Amino acid sequence: MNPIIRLRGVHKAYGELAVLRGIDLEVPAGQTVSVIGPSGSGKSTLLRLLMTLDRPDQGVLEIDGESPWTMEKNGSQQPADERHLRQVRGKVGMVFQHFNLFPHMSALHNVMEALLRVLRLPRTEAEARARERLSAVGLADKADAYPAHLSGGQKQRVAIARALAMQPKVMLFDEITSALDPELVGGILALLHEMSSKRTMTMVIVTHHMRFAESCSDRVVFFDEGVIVEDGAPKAIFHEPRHERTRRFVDAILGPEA
Amino acid sequence: MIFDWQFAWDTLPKLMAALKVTVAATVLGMAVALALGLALALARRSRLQWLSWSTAGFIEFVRSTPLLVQIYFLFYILPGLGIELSAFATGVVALGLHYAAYCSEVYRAGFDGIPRGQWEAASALNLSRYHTIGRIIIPQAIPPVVPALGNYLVAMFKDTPMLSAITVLELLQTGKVVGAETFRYLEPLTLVGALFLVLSLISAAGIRGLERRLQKWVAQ
Ligand SMILES: Nc1ncnc2c1ncn2[C@@H]1O[C@H](COP(=O)(O)OP(=O)(O)OP(=O)(O)O)[C@@H](O)[C@H]1O
Ligand SMILES: [Mg+2]
Repeated sequence: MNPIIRLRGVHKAYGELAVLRGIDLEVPAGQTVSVIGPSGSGKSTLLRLLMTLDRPDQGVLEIDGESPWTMEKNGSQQPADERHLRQVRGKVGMVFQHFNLFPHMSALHNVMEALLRVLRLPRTEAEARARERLSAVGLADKADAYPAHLSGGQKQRVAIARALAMQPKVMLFDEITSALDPELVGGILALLHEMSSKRTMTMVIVTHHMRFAESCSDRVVFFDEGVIVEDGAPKAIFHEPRHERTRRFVDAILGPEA
Repeated sequence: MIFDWQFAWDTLPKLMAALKVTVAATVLGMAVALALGLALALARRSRLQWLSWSTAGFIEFVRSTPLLVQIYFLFYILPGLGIELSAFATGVVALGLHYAAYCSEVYRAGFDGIPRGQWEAASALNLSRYHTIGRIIIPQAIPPVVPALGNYLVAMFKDTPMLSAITVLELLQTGKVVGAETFRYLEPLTLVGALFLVLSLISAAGIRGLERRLQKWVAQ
């Protein structure tokens, strides 16, 4: 089976700064991958490329077998048009560290907006699906609240419902608990755990919660200075790392208990 | 010279009629400025280099030449291009064009105030550029700049006497005509000033009211 995410030799620089320096990564459909690594190592950049918010400078990036930025036309590879880009982009969804809810719309309308404008669902159907997603994240009673009146945890739940409602094949989570008060983190992680255990979606999760990464993912990728240093089963990464750099990072965060 | 209240009262109907012309020119001119200004701001942000640059050039050109020159220019040049407009319509177009350049800068500030995360969230939801701008960006960018746009409304209102240069019988010109006919300038010109003052205050209050309503709406 083809991997749903395939990166080969991906490079990305911002000006002089080489952020990604040759990334190879294949993720089969349904897998949950945690991405860990020090600040500035390029984790968010990787997710932004997967979300097609930005394009690689070099290398191959494919979602479900298709490159978002190029398309086949008259037997050769051409720069993709808007339609092709959006067709590929539609397979991916993302939840951000700072929620990025639309402040001028209620929770319900945040979720409904893309259902109406992108999937072009009829209004009643869009509303039904949005309400159902909001109750799935425990916010049935907050449908009419505006983001300014929600707690951080509630905002992040709306953002998750909003992304899930589009039924993407791949979901990306970029440190979605980092901006939350500590007591709200557990609930969001539990929600992630519940999603990943269904195995219907491919999930790529950037996180600083090592215990969560260990218990909830099929695979952990350790990132440092724009390259994948180590990629393996959670047990292996956390307890028998092959690389010194991985061990130092894990120890620094978990404490050298293992 | 003593202020003749009776005479002032008698000239009021004439001035009120002229006030209608002034208000109409302002309202229509502002409608042009708001719509065209938004179009210019969007064109300025366009990913098409030629469009973005030529728009920037146009805005700079309009902002650095006097309104009066633009009014004369349109009045004498448009007919030569086969565009026959009344003096009033020419005036509306001139005011609209001139203030569109200023309004576009205000809109631009509004756009710049939107966090990058809003664009990214819209892209991540696969919204088209059209829907991103129309449904996500513009509704957030405009409320904060309503006061600045309102200032230009009042400024445009106060610039309408320039239309007298191309024979539009607006408020000031009518006041002058009354003065010339009766050899009394004090009353008509005082009334002209008072009418400008009253309307400026009313529109400023209206804008503040609108601002408050928008704030409530944004805070929801
Ligand atoms: N749009 C951009 N323009 C310029 N530099 C950027 C941009 N985005 C990221 N960078 C830089 O690229 C480097 C990697 O950033 P990235 O956000 O991918 O790291 P990260 O691994 O997600 O870090 P963190 O854990 O702090 O979120 C950083 O040095 C950052 O300053
Ligand atoms: Mg990051």
